[in-house]
This record gives sequence, C-alpha cells and structure tokens, in this order.
Amino acid sequence: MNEAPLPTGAIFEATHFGPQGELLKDPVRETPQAEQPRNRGLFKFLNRQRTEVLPQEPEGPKHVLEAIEERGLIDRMDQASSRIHNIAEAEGGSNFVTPLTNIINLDEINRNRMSRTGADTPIAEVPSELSEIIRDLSIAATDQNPAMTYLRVEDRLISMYHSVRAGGIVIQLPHGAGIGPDNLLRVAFNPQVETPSPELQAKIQALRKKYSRKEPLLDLVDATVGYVERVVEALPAEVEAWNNGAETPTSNEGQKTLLSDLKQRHPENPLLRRDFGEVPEGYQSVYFVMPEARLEEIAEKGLLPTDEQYKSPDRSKTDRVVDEKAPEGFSRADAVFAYPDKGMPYDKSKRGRNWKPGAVVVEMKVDPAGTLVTDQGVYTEASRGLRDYGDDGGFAQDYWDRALTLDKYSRLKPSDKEGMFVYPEVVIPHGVEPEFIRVSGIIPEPPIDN
Amino acid sequence: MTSQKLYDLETDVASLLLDRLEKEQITLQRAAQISKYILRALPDTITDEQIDKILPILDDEFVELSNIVHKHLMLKQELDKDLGITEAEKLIHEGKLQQSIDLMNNYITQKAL
Repeated sequence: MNEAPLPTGAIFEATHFGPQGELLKDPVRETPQAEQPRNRGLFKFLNRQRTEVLPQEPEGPKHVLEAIEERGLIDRMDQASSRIHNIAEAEGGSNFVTPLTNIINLDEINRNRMSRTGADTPIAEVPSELSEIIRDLSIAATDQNPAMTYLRVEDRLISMYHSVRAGGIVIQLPHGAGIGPDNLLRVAFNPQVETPSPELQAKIQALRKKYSRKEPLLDLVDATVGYVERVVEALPAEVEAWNNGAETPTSNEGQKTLLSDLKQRHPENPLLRRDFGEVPEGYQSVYFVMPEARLEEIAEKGLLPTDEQYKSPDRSKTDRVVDEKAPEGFSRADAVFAYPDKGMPYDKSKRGRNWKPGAVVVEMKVDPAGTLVTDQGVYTEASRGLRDYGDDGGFAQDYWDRALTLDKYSRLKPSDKEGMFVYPEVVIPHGVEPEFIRVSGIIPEPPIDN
Repeated sequence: MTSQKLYDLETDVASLLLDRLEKEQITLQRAAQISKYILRALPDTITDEQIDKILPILDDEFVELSNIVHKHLMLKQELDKDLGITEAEKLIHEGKLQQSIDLMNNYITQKAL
C-alpha cells in the first residue's frame, strides 16, 4: 500500500500542547487560502487527476481513487460545516454553539440531554477509532471515558477535545485542488502535557506510524466526519428542546429585534460581540440581569461584589451573620449572584425580583466546581429574622447547608430541581471578569392580558 | 506489486468515476463511496485468482460498476477460451482426442453457467 505523505514536522514538534502533539489550527488560521468556486475547484481537481495522476504507473489509478475518496470527505465536511455555521447564526449565540468559531459544546449538550431526559446518552456516539485514540492518549484513569467535551468545526478543520488532561485530536482536510505541503490531509494528536512520558511518546509514535498510511488515515477521517455529521444532524432538535425548556416569553424573532436595537445604542460594547472563544473547558453558563445603564461599566470592570458602602444596613448585617457560617473559600459578602438556568430571568415566579422590560440579561461563564447554588429565599428569611427578632433563626447555617455545586445542580433532572429552592441563586466568589460575560437577551414587555 | 489485472481494473474504475464526475452524472460523495469500496476490496496484495473470484460480485453494491464488471468478465472468458483452445490443440497433437473433447465440453459448460 502506498504511504500518505507524512504530516509536516510542525504537527509533531513542540507547541503549547507539548513536544509530541502539535495543534494545527494556528498555522491554518494564519495562512487561509482563498475559497474557490466549488465547481471550478472540482473540475480543476478532476483535470489534474486525469492528466497528471492517472497515467502514472503502476499506482496512478489507485491514487486517483484515494483522491476521490478524500474529496468526498471534504464535500461532506463542507456541508456539515455550513450547517453548523447556519445553526450558530440562527441562534445568535447559545450554550451549545459559539458563533464565529463554531465551537460545539458537547459537554453542555449532553448535560442538558441528561437533565431533560434522564438518559445518560450522548448526542452522538464517539466512533471506536476516536475512542481508541483517546484511550491511548489518556494520562489518568478518569480519562478512560472517551466522551468528547468540545468539537470545533471551522471550515475544513476539525478539532475534538476530550478533556483538559487528555487532550484530543485535530484533523485538517485539504483546502484546494492544488498540491503542496499546505494542501494535505493531516491529523495531529495533542495530549495536554508539558513533557510527555516515554510511554506516552511511544504511543504517539505508534499512532503517527499507523496514520501515516493512507488507508487508516482515510478511515479515521471518514469516522470523524461521520461523527460530526451525526452531531450536526441531532443539533437542531437539542437547540429547540433547550429553547423550549428555557421558557423565554418572547419569540426568538422578538429577542433578535430587541438585541439589534441594543447593539445600535451600544455599537462598541464588547459584551454584545463576545464569542467566549477563550473560556476554559468545562465552564458553565449562568445568567444575571441588570439595567441597560450598567452595560459599559460591566464591559470594563466585569461583575464585582457590591461594595459595602452601597449596601443597606440590613444587608450588611445579614451578610456578616451568614458569612460566619460560610464554608471555607466562600463568602456571600465577597460574591456575585446569578440565575443557574437560562429561562429564570424571564420567569417572574422563579427570579425573585421584578425586572423592568428592557433590562439586559447577560450570560456568564463560571467554574461549576468552584461555584455554589443555594436558596436566596433562605437568605431572605435570615434577613427578616435579624431585622424583626435580632436572630437569624438558623437560616444562616441553612443557607450554606442547602448549597450544592453548580456542577451537581446542572446534572439534576428538572423534576428534581423543582421545589428544591424558593429562589435558586448561584454564588460566584469574587465576581466575574468581563471576558467571561456577554449579553444573552432582553427582558421583554409583558404580554397584554385581554 | 500491483498486477496488470488489478491495474487495468482500477484504471477502468478511476476513468469511469472521473468521466461521470466531469459530466455531473454522479455525486462526489457517491464517487467517494465507490472509491473507498474498490480500494478496500482490491488491496495491493490481492492475487489474480482472488480478483477473478471477487469480480462477479463487485457491482452488487454499486450498479455503476456493472459495465466494468461485464467487460472484465468477458475478457476473462476470452482469455480462458484462448487458453482452452491452445491446450486442446496440444492434446490433439499428442493424440489425446477424448481429453481434448472433455476439455472443450468443460469450457462450454462453464461458459453456460
């Protein structure tokens, strides 16, 4: 069997992923090639196969067949990429797909699926070829579950990440009809370690050897593209289910109009353009509501804990008492608060505060393991007790006893969340940096009762 | 080492797919499926005898290949016929008339199948 050209040295040489796992996205992003009209590119490709490749003996015909197979994969990839792009655009930014970068948050999708259906089945099964690679690259026992957390499909570049520790693989499909080092099918494996152990290096070398042969390489890409296609196929239903579950009281069209108006009023505000491309893996979305007037301040400073001088005496006192019972690392006085679910800011019965129409809903990405969800209703009871009787009535302790991490909370079924808290609030220590905040929606005008 | 038989077969399939793609008579994805099938069904290590065995079923999954399969089956029959005649003539010259008749009958029976 003929050998596929080896990926260039850059693929396996030192990068920020470590010396054995070069990431290809940066070289590709830095040297984009102009997209040719599809048919023109195809005919150029066919002409080259017929006049230059086919006559070569003895392997010319085989190379033509391999090139057609590869070209078919590219065609499928283009279609999948286009669909993801359309879904991301239509959504205008969601938990599932990030516009512009087309990052699909599989972890978020799967968590929502489980929360909605109770079934622990991913949006698409990871093909065995990919599972084997992930297991080969895994450096911890916890990495043995080969589920993917992120899938990034950008043009003809597929990046799949398993976890921060185990890394993932990157596949770059050729761009045009021409030949040359920039126009080859490439695969890179990237465990996230500074210095790979000799054992890991040996595994990477074995993978490199295996996929330097054309047939396994094409099979791997075929399986990967198939995986992407299955994710894309299932994605619209997941988005719809999520949107339905969010119970946003206005249509998407209504939200788009409100957001468009907001952008016109704040053309330079980065909160209206953030794509969350740099958010660490595993961070989850929570929601916060604020008056439009705070947009510029939040964009500059982020969301910070309320300064003592702006608190009412009652609140200062309650915070002090509640913080005496706080677990290590947490302080309600040194925290900001958010809604754990997307629909809550729009639902009067759940949000615990009456926001005026036009208030801005922002999405914030937070570390779910270092963030707690507890009950604002209990805090209010503690506050009432202190104000009326000079005693918190045990509610300060209760406030923290009821808390669970956002990570655990988000894995609960809706039926389990129901009734768990009067007004659930996410306690985020120290605040949220502006890079992790973006506008998500607007509180609409209330519907007119007939 | 690629045999002449494998080379000819792959050349015909590659030419067919290039033709059809140029005339837009087949989708790229279908052509890619056929390419993949051929590459996996006919590895470099395949012998001529193995090709002869697989040839009749090569178009079961992809009807586009039926003309090529037919052409190569006919070529094989012609080759078998030529070899048979040469062998029968040799047997006649050696005075083995009955063996020569049996050989030709055997060829005719196989062709009828």
